[in-house]
Amino acid sequence: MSEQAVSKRPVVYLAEFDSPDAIIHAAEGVRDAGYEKWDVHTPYPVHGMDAAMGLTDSGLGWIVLLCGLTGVTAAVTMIQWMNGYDYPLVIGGKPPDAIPSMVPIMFELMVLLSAFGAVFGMFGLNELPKHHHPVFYSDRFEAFSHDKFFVSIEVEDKKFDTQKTKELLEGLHSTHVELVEEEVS
Amino acid sequence: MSDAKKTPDSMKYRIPEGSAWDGAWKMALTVAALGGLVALGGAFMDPKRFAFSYLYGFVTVLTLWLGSVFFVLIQHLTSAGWSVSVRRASEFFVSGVVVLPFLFAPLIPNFKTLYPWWTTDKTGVAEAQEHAAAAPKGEGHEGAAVTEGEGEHSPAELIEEATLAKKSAYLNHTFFGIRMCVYFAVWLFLGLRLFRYSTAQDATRDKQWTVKLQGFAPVATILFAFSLTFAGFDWIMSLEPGWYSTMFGVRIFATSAVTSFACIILVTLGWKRAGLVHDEINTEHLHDLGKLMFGFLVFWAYISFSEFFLIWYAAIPEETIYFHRRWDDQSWRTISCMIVGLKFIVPFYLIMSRNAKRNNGLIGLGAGWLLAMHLVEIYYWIMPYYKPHAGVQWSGIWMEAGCVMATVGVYMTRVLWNMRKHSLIAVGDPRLSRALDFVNA
Repeated sequence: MSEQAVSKRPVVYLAEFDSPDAIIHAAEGVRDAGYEKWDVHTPYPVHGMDAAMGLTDSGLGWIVLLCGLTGVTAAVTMIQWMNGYDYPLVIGGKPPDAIPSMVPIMFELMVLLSAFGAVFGMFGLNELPKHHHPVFYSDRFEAFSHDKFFVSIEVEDKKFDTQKTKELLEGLHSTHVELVEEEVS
Repeated sequence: MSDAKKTPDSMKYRIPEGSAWDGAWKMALTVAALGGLVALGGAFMDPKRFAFSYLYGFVTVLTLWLGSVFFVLIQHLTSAGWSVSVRRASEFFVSGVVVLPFLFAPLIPNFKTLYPWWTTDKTGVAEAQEHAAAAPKGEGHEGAAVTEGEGEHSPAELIEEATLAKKSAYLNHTFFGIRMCVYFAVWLFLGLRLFRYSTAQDATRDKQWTVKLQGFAPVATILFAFSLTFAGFDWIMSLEPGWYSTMFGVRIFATSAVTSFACIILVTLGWKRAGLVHDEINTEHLHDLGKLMFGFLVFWAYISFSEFFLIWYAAIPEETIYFHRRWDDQSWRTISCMIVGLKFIVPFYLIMSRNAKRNNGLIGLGAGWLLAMHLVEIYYWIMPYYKPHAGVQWSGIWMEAGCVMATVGVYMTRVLWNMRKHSLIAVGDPRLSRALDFVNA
């Protein structure tokens, strides 16, 4: 380890709460204060959190719909081109471009692309994979997967102010407010 | 909030005297009476058409009832908490079971008109059976019937006759009658028990009724599944006795489920609009009912297409005849296409989105749409047999309208009558607070 003094800069405020009711109340407070770059960390899903955080509908449904429609269209185009036009084959006495025989492929390709859209769209919207986040610098943060509830507000938020944000979090009855700092090399 | 505060009392959700819902049964009765007059007129003018029209009306009611039983049974099977506040809506439909045997009665003298095997089983079938028995092993039944058949019969008829001979152990008058009695015995048992146990709990709030219903549900589900499937074979599939399909029972089940979800949604929306219930049945419950309706709609489409697809691919005449009847003529073809387009594709996109399911107007529109298309689908099941190879007989469609009004009207009279007598929400169920707190994550 280097002996040099390293400079640090604040990255995120971390406020600790003891109960799901307290975290819901806190989330409502942060939402009403108008913050945008913030998050809540809980050991289990807390009912009503979406509304408390003011989250709007995720756009994932539209991604999945678009992927599904792409799958159907791709299947129709592919089979019509291959079986109906480019290399027509009569199988079982059916017309080469019969619609019923396309349906299973349409269905499968729709499901496949929808599933890809759902999984990778979810990754994209959640900014995953994310290997590290400054909240992990805090020693107390580990309790988020055990019995504590946290609110984190990032410095990059437009409304962030070292003093005011701290007052807000304390005013929401946080049991412990911590300004997490990151080392700058 | 304490539990005592959350559990509302049994008089809170009653239809007040003199309100629109209080008099709704009279409207249903009027519709039934008007429909009954029209149907009666039809029975004199064209007895053959009346037989099919009335079967159409009866099957419409039966599928609605079966779907409601399915919903209630599944809630008890899974000990569902979310659905307690909407379960009673479905239980009212279940309670209409008492009118089913009476509604079925006018069909009994019409069996000979409806079911082709009813008249042939004494002569042709018995003969063919003899031939089949006399034929040496290894030679198919069909061969025996074809070689021994009378000169005036076409090969198609002979094949049908041989098929009927094979099926005669099942499709004969005695066994058919016995099964009919068994179905109604089972259904009365199921329907009355599900309704009475649940309403008995309203006043007493005794947990034992929930325990009893949960113990009863597995047996009831098995009885339900078998009675539904075999009643479908008997009363609907045997209109085409030569036809084979292992998927038909599932198709009845799927379409029944969709219909009953549509009914629960419409009835609960109606209660909400009249101010009979408020937040006890909220967007969360309607969202879940919408999900189930959507899911079963897709399931219905999936199994219906699978059934068609296998028959289309194999192209065996005794199987394809079912679809030929509904495709060769342009008017039936239009109805077939309508079912694909308007019963599946349009409502699929209409109620797919989460926002649509959480919007009372849109989910109500979807439910109403599916109910209307249910009438078209049952028409497509039954009516091609009235005049085979002749297309849809539009000019006499008033008779089908009359029969549907009569059967649905009588059934709804009973359902709406029971609504006046009992709480609209299962207030005695110990899981009610779970339903009131329920939120879709």
